[in-house]
Amino acid sequence: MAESPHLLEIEVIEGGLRLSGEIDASCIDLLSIHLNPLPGTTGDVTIHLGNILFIDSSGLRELIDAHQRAERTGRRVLMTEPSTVVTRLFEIAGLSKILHTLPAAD
Amino acid sequence: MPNSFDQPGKESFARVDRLARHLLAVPISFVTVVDPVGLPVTHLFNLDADNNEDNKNDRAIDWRSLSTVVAELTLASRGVLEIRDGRADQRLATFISSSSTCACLAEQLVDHKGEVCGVFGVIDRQQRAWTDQDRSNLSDLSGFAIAELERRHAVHLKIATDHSTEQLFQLASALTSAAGIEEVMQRTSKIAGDLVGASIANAAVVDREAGDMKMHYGKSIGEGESNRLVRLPLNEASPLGRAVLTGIPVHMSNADEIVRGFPLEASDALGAGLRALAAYPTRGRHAAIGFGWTHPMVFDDPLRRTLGTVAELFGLGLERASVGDRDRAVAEHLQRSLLPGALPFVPGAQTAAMYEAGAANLDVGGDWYDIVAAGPDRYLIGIGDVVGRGLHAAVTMGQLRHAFAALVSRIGSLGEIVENLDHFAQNVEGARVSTLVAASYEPSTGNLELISAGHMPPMLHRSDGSVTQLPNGGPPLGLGGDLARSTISTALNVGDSLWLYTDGLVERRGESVDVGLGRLKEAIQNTRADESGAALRDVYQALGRPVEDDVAVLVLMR
Repeated sequence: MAESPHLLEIEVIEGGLRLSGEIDASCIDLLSIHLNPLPGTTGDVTIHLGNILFIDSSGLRELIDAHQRAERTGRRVLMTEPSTVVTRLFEIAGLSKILHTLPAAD
Repeated sequence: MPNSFDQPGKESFARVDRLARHLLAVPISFVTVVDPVGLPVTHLFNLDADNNEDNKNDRAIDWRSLSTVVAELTLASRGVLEIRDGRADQRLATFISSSSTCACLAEQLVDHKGEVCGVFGVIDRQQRAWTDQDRSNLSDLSGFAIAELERRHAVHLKIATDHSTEQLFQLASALTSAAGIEEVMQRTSKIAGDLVGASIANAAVVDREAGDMKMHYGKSIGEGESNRLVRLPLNEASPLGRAVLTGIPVHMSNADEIVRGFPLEASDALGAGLRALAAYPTRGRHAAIGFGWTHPMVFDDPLRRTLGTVAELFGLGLERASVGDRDRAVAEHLQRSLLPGALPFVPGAQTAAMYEAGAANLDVGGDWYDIVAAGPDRYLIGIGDVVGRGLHAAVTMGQLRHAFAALVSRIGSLGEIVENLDHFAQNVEGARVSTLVAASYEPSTGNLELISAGHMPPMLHRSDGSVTQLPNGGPPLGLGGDLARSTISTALNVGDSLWLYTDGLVERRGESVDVGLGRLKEAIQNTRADESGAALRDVYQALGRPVEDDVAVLVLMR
């Protein structure tokens, strides 16, 4: 299977980012640029994860880093509408009680 | 150099010393630091400046020796030592002249983990009837001393880690580009020798068919000796041989120890100017690295950690160098990984494990596993995943795996081991957010305890055919904060197996991880093999793996 280097789409939205596609080691630098420093200067940062089909450990680490970076400055990173793929990985990795996730309203 | 980091600076304790002398009205206080690996005690005798002349000229009392003895007695007493009149105490008589006396009050230092980390004490030049106030003051001061020790230890860990980490990256880098086993041996001995300040460094690989070892002198004292490849008999008469045969690192801190430890080699070693030796085996005992120094050495924790990591990297370098042509290598590597002898023998059980690096490049990833004997009826099993690939992941993985084994040898409780690794991961940047399952297994009963830090859930295959996915664990290592992780207690009955693995086995693009977990459960359920290696092969082949990811799998079958 041919590997395309940028399977991740990052859309800057109000208050944060909307991520679509796959987050893995090949695009981690791209994601990192958008999260470091955090978007905006105050208030919550929203990362919309509804369209994420795959995320590996480097992706998880990037999200955790963003979460901790926010905490240090009294802000929050809100992971909104995480896809099933993401939700399940958060649960297995014991991150559900740590990261701020906002599931989609039914 | 590692040695410059090991002595807690006198200035660290100067404040505690001044307070002690003032509060307790004594001329001398001392701190003794117990080496965390349980070996020689480092004794700090703090002769503060304003007291120097008095004490130095005091021929009546050998303060240094006296304080050492008091420290030893305190450790033996396992609590507080009180001596009101030293002259009347047989144990101290040698250090005090007949016309003098002394009094001592000393307390064992216990850190927050409940481990004895040293002694804090005061000595007076006259008889003393120690009061409750004195004991209470000493207790408070001991608290300060412990805090200072812990702060210093944390700083040491960071400094030692930063310093040696850089050089370890260099080593890992050199080994990644090494073209073959001989080059791996050459580069390891040369670079590692410089890293630890050794005058002699050599690397040896076991040739089991020939019954000996091929050794490469990477660094040596004499001219013309370097870069030679020689054959060495495989026996315990040499440090390298002993390390390989016993699987235990060898440390000879001074000439006496060399003579006692290696009587046959001692005169050659000492004649060559060596005063300290070390030899570390690689995992699986296929090889070993050895070092020699021309001065006595203190093999403290940071140095042992460095040496252990060098051995890990050396082992990894050898494995990678022998991989060569990818197609043939996949099968061969799988075979080699399943060979008995790669893991320790666990009574009443079979074990098998495999590691397959992602095929996209020859960079090794960060997956690791280990089984370490922790006592006659206890084995610690670990599997983990360091984020990332390449040099950084390889080095960090080696450090983490080594830290795991080192902790197992020192700490009894599974929870504490994981807590320590958590702390380690906080201090070593590359280890942050790494995952781990640590399990404690008792062969006589089959009792099993597990803690998961952000890792894929272990699977339990029961003899009735059912496969249970264990509950999700706590967060990955190194996130800081007070993160509790629960311990799962269960038991492996005869016919049951425990499966540990990394995410490369079950994660596929475009599907939830539950799909992969389901596939794994099914594959485990379908194995008919009652031999661990065959079962492992069956499951691995049933699942395949994504092209670019690493996979590690370990099975324990009772």
